Amino acid sequence: MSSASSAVALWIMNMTGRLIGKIENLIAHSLPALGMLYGKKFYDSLVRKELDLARLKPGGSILHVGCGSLPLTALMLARHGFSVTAVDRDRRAVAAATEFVRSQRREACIHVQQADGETIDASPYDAVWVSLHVFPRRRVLRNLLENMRPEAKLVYRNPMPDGKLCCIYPLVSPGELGHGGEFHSAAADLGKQSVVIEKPYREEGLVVPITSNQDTSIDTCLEDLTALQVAIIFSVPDDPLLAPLGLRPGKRVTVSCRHPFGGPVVVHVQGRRIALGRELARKIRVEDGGVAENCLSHHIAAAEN
Amino acid sequence: MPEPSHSSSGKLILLIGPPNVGKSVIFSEMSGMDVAMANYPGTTVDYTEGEVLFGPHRALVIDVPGTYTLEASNEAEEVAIQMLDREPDLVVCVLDAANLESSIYLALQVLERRLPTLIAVNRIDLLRERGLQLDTDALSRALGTDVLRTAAVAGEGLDTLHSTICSALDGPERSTPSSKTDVSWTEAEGIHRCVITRLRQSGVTRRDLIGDASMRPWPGVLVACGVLVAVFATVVGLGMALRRFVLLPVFTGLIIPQIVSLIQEIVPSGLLQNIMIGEYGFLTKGVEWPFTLVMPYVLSFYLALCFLEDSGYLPRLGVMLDGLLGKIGLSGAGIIPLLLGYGCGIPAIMSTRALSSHKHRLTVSLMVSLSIPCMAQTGAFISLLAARSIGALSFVAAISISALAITGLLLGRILPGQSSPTLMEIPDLLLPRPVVLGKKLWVRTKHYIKDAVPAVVGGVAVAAVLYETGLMIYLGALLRPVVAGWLQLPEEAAVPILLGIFRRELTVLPLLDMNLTTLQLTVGSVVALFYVPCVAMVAVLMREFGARFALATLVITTIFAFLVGGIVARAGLLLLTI
Repeated sequence: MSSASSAVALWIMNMTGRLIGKIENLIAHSLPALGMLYGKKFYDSLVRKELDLARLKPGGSILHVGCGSLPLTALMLARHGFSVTAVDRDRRAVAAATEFVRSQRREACIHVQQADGETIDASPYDAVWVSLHVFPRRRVLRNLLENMRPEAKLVYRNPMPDGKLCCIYPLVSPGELGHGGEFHSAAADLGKQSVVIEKPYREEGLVVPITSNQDTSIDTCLEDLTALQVAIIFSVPDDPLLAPLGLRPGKRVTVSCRHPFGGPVVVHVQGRRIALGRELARKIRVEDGGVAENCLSHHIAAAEN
Repeated sequence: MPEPSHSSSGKLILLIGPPNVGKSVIFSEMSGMDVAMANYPGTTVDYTEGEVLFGPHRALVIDVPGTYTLEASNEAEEVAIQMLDREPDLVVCVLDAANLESSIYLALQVLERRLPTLIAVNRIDLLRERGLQLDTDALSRALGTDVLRTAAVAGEGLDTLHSTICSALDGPERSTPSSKTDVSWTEAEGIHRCVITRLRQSGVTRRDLIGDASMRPWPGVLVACGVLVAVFATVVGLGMALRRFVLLPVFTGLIIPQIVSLIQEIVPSGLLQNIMIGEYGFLTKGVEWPFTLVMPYVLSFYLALCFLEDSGYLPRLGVMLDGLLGKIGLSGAGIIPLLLGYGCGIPAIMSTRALSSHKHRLTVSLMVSLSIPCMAQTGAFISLLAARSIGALSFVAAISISALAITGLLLGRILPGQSSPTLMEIPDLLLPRPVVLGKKLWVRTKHYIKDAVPAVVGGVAVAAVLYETGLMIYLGALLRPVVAGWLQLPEEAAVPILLGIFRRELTVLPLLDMNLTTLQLTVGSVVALFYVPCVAMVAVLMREFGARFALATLVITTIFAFLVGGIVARAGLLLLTI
């Protein structure tokens, strides 16, 4: 991105952030019920998906970086039985969030404090959640990954690669954070996706990826892939049309796009575009295979597969 | 049409291949004007066939509906298998160069049958575009039979195909496959790896960009709106132009006056003459209506539909609507019967067989019967209302679409059953060839003239008899409470209501000459829109779903038509007096 457009993007990010901050402040102070309604509608399923991917033992402690004035993620996590420390850099946001938590009578489970993600110590926690609007996200994420406990989980949110939020928020891949091992990701609505990394157990400076943990299955289903994610199929349900269309075990697929309103997922496989309904996509198990740069070049490259 | 068999003195050739591979282009290049659409008895599978001369041999060529495999998992595949069981004299297996691996699997299945087979690898131009190369000889050796390359859309390789078919018909033993290869995906993948090599890196083509863009939610939605507007403009605009500049002058200016003067000379004045050329003369109105009022829109509609079909855009539309249609219990594939319904309800009902859930089938069929006007009726609406008031036309269109959505939603909730998942390939976009389009249009037009015109003439003849014998006045008096009282229409509007049972446009067209106000026209249109489907369609409904469903449809549509019509009449009057 050229410097001019990145400057513009930064400015937009700033302004948007401020605007949203103001609105959330207002809601946190005067209309907490509305906030909870919003939270239940949009954040409940998101957090549920993230918890599914993270496979945390209940009762653990979670750090939420970038909670904002309306700490909805923290509240959703508390409802699942975790104790949450919600932090934000902005003092006013912290005040509003404390007020909101009090109105929801969750002071016992959620502790709000002011802290900076770039310097905070994440070692006491079983998992860390990082919101989309946290800035500068890469530095914060690197810091957290650095001082997190081994085997603790890091859950952070990204914009969807082909969505509009991509212009405002940067897309951070786990590779950029120096994490070479496996990760899980799931798409959520509203143009976001969640990425879950488990911090590897370090032995004498060697980074050992987790293969010993029997519980962690490395496969996911086609429905949970996000756009531009590449995967290798390893099992398909018993539909006679799947094989001739190229959806057979061992084939590489790239997700092209997902349609809203529960619409189909479109994938590129062997140079063809196939649209799959969500229920069918859920039944196709795949292994993560990385990320493609853009869909079209892969479409061509796949033709030679 | 009877089951396909060897033509009287000649051979039977089957064209088999996957969908979207361009078989119909190859077929239309081979065949002349003597093509017809046929239906495989007991199924909803339609296929095209035509007689072609290959050297000294006269052959019946059948364009078998596209199949991905021969595993008998759906009707099209079963039909293909049954056709292969008839031991054709030659099978031309059309493969897709751009998706060779899956096609090879199909070819292996066909070759297993040990029939004289020829392989034509089509879309070789796309292969070249992608920087790949096919070793035809290697493929020929691997499969044990002759392999040709073609790029049907560009007209490439078709002459060679023709001459190869001629020599194959001369000596069929040569084309019987020699080697025995087992049918498996590993085999297909292996063969594919050996015969395809990459020459150079290919870039992103414009076709890919547009193809992708039209499929994503954004800007796909914009494209979809643009396409729908263009379709609407074509159907209405082109239809009107055809009517005004071509069909109207020819028929009302030339042909009908000739008929009138001829009849006036031959037939003495009186009842018979009036039935022929009087008020409801089946030789005047019965000719004018189908040809000048309805046919222009039939032509323009099928032109737009065939264009959409052949360009590969329809599946994209289906994908985009799949989410929304899913909310009312349909799948994206449900868009096709709905669209077909705007042409004629009968193919629409038949095409619901492609929907795998019975609940879908019932929902879509009721939606089509109730709220989708066939092209004949739409043409009549446009003729009736557009000149008077575009507002009225839009209003009727809006009511139609709302009723569609509401019916879909309600049935989605009420009827028990599951919906089946979407799984479809989105083909590459391409510009349809005018020749192919022309042929498809010709087939549809012939079909219309053969089917519709006699039915209209018959219906009008009945009307003429009723009118001239005075029975109409009697029937009008019987229906007066409904027609004049509830619907606020003149008594003679009872006629179209009775005629509508034969052909849907007959519910609308007679209103033209009745000097009605715009409101009355609107009311008439609304009633006509929802009113019972024509007799032919009821027969199809009965065959597909049973007498109970057909009866239910008749009852629901009649009640709905009169109810809504009356409400519009009352509301309209109220609004006007305000």
